[in-house]
Amino acid sequence: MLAAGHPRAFGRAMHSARTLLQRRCLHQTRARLAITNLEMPAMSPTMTEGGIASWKKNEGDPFSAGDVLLEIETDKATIDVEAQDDGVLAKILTPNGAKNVPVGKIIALLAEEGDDISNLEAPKEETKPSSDTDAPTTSAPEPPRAASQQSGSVQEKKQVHHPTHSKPLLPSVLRLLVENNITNAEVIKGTGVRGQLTKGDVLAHLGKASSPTGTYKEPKQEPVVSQKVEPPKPLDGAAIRQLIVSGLSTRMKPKAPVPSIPPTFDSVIADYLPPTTETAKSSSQSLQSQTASPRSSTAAYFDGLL
Amino acid sequence: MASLARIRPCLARRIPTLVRGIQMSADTTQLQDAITDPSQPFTVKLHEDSFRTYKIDPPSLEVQVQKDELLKIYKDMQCMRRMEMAADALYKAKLIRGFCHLAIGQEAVSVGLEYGITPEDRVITAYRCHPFAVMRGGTIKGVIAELLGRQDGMSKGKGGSMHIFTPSFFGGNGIVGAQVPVGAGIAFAQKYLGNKTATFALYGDGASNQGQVFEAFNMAKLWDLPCVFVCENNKYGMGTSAERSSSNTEYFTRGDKIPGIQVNGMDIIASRHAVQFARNWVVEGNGPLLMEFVTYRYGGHSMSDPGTTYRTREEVQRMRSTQDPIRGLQRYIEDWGLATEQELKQLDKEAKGEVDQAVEEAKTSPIPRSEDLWTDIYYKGTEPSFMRGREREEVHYY
Repeated sequence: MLAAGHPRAFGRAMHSARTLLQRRCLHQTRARLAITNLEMPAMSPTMTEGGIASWKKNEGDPFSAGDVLLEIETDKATIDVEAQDDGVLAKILTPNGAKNVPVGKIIALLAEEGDDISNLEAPKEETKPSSDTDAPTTSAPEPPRAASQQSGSVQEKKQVHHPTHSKPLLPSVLRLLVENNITNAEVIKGTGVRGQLTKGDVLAHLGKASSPTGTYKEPKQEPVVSQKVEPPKPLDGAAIRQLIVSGLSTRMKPKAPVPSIPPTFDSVIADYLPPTTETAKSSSQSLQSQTASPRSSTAAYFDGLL
Repeated sequence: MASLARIRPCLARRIPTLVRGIQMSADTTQLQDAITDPSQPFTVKLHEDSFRTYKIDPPSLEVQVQKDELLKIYKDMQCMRRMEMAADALYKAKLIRGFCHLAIGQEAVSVGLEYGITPEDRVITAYRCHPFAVMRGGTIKGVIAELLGRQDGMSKGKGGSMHIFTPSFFGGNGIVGAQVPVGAGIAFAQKYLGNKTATFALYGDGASNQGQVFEAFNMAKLWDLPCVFVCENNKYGMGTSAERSSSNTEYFTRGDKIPGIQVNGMDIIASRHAVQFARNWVVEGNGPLLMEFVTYRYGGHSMSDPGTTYRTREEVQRMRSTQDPIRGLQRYIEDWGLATEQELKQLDKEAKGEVDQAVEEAKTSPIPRSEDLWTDIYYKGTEPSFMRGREREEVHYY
């Protein structure tokens, strides 16, 4: 809050101090004799033209180096233009609100303090701008000449006809139409989306294709057989109850016990042994007479090892 | 954030100066005795707040100056100001493209440095280098032509602002803070060759926080290199004020074991005196020294920066009107009776004429030829047998 009020008061005090100082001291730069031109500056490297937003000094106002002379409107922002030297704004050539002022154009005349600025005229058009206008005019006839030469070589007609159609024309279609000198595109029937012309239509019209879709054939669709299947009848109350009860009964039935064979050593080992006929036989035998001779099978198992 | 930046300088001004701060004015040096013979050197006394030191005794506040030297300094500062303003105008006329970093307001540092050292001393700085390039043996026409990209430029138009060299000036460097270790290396070479010269490695307040700067400090102190590290503190690193970027804004104390001295960079006599002091200190073999010039730039960081988004226009105007170095020297010259207003106006005119003529000559210079694409890549005589160009088919045989 304090700081908000402070700079203004400070600035005013400084301004009065500065004018006092100016009266006492020399100005920074007093070396100019003639009127200098203030050209439109490029405030950014890409700027080619701008507008004058507002002049901050009037004709005849003195200014010192660093004072804002005017605000320039570029396409990006409004930027202040500061003065480089001390001086007096002698004459404003482009007023407030001027648009499209090219970079380099003289927008004002600056003079030194004490100069007579009563009868100043706007500088006459210098040779530099006239040479610039000459250059574009000489270059302007050249491209049309080159363009006409090219079009003449391609076809004998000089003007380019533009085929039109009630529907929008696709670029590929437009190119074909122009290349083949079809002026009236309504003649061709359009089979594209919403009746637009397609490339195939034009080619078929020209005879270069057999049909608008060429060799593409749509796959045959089988007729839907829907009459055989009867729609399911809606269930009435009794049928629903029947359905529920049958579902419950199937759920409530105890599961059939899985016949579990008590595992013997051989039966467990048999999974890991390589399947040979003897072991298969012995395993099947052991299954049948499991309690009969477990020891003999184990002895047989160790036969090869010991 | 921008609003904070605007409020901050106002707050800083309102704090009463309990702590002794550095003097920032350009016109506080007093004449000691009346000048009897204008052709003889006379003594002036600097303001007591012109220097602040760290781990070193400050230089004496009494300085010997001479009339001719002061007039020459005035002319040189005015030339540098005019040259930078001409570069500004050429950039706005879209003749200079790309980067253009101007040192308007910081003339006392470059001219003060030049008048404090010998032609054999080495200087290296960053990209705000146009006045240094001219002072160290370059020409105004050479610098302007280089900015315009013409054959008469100091690097034949192929280098631009960040590639200007003279035998005792090592550029002109684009990477922030990269020139400081290079400067330490140049000092190492001087010590190795046994030359009794000093090397001045300059950097800005924005670059002072770079890591390689501290690495250079360490090596310089370890091997007692004759290097003066100069920090040009213009209070803003691009758009960030020093308070917002650095935890320690007393850049002359950042050298840890390296002694430092802070100098009023707007007073030309204080600047020159401090540079002489630093050079003598370093050449005597006392190891490196840190110098901080407290100065100010009126323009933006570069030509694409208006300079008013992070500081108020009032601040810039205030510095311009009350602490301008050229105006300060002008006051000294007039107050001490060395020259009249007319004579100084004449010097101004001469400076402007010189710069205008240099600009006109530079503008008439042609742009580099396409054959010049292949020259100056290698040192003459050490080129390889062929060099590839921009496309595969473009090959040049030497």
